[in-house]
Amino acid sequence: MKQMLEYVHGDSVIHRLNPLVKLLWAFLTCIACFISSNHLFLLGVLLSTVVVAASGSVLARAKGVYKALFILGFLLMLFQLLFTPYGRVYFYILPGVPVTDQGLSFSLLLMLRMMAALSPLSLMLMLTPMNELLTAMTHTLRIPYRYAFVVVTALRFIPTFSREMDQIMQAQRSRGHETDTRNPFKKVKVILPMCIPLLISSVRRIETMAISLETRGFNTGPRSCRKKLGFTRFDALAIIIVMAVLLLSIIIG
Amino acid sequence: MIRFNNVSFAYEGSEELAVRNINLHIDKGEFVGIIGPSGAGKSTLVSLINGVIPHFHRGDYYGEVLVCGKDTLESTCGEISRHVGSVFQDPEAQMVTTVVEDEIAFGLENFNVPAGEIEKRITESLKMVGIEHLRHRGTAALSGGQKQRVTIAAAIALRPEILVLDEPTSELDPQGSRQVFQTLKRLNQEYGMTILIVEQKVMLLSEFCSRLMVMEKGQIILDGPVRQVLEHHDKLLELGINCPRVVTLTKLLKDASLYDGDIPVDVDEAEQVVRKILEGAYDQHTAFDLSLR
Repeated sequence: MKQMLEYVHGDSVIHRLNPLVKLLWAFLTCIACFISSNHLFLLGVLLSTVVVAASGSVLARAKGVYKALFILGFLLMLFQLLFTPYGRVYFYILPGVPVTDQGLSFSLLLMLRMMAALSPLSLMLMLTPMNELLTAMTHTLRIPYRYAFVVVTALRFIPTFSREMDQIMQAQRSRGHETDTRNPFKKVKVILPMCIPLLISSVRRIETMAISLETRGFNTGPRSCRKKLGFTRFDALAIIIVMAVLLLSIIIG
Repeated sequence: MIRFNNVSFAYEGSEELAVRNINLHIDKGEFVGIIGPSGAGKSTLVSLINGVIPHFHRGDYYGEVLVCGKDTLESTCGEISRHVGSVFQDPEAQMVTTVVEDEIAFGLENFNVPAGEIEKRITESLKMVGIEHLRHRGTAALSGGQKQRVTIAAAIALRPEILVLDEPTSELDPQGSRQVFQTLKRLNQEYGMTILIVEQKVMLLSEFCSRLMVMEKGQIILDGPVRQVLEHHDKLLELGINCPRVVTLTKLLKDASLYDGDIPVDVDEAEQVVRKILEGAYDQHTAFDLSLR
């Protein structure tokens, strides 16, 4: 989880794009994936995200994202497959539960959509420095700094919390608490009580953070920003491509 | 630089005073170490200087604290932070951003420092703590000592006259702790920064600080140059503060009336003391031998 949202430092064309362009890409791609119900289109979009990941040289990191999305999509696909009774029946998986051609096609679409729509969001975060995102949100989108800061800080705390959770799990495991189980219901039952120590330590950390903010002049007045966000022809090109994809999704349907 | 006039404070909801009748004066350029058992009021003292008390933690506040001539009660936490840089125990929690250079830029941006100046200050403060090579690194992948030095760099980028640190090495290994102290010493000597550090590692304090304060039950019970404070060996031991071994050794030598000079604060000095005594003993011994003959 922590690796899916963390920025990876680099100096690729993608890294240098204006953060707003990347934000636009993530959102419009997502929308395009929901507009279109064409398998090939979605597959194309998915492949294009792989190209983006590769050119930002975060492919190794992105693999985890694709894997997680695949598992999620696969579960979704199974459900969809079992609960679509219409269309030509291929075979019965259980008495009265048919697997049909429409079911297969639709569930496959769902999985592709899921993967193609969500991976850009994760890639965007991997390829955009937080502070640029923050600058883009406050200076260009005019979101008040306080609110933009909340969003960015929430993302920043994910690795911290995940490390903390690991620690708590290990502490429990070392005292003989069984945490490894394949049964998802049992897993929830096992993990739920551990959320309390996580919550407590988080609150404590957040207090330290608040003090740290206070002692470093947070919200004392107008803020300057270190980086001027440029707009290059690559940004223009990227916007054109994104728009074209959106248009294509509408045309293809 | 820092002046406490009869300061007492009790946290909200607590009857007991966390610090009590503190009178204190710290001059520019001092390197002050604060030590004492937990609950002695060390952190409270630090919070009173950087304005976290009374602006963040509330409670009953008596007396006045003057930092750079201004009453902390009358300025905001933000204003105080222009003069006082703060570093806390948990480096992970006090980091706001995910990249080293952003972390340092954060405070500067808050104070509306222009972009060109920010770049200059980032370079400067990274150099001051000796971590220029970490500039573009993500903060999550740094070691404890590196993280803590990033937080120090972030604090000094604002060019504070005073730096207060509340147990900054508690989560570090011996090498990391030493690195932090060496960094502080450089800041103190080369840039004349006034430094106040709460710390449990007495050995490091006695080696690097110029002045030592010992706190107990909300009061400063010992205060003075390091050597002078270390003379109170028994009192320190009573508080559970393990004196450096060289001090313990000197104490034993003094008890046996073999030595009555200044307390050595590091191993080299102690070695000299012991050598001298041994030479003296040898001379006495030979003299004794000779007189027998």
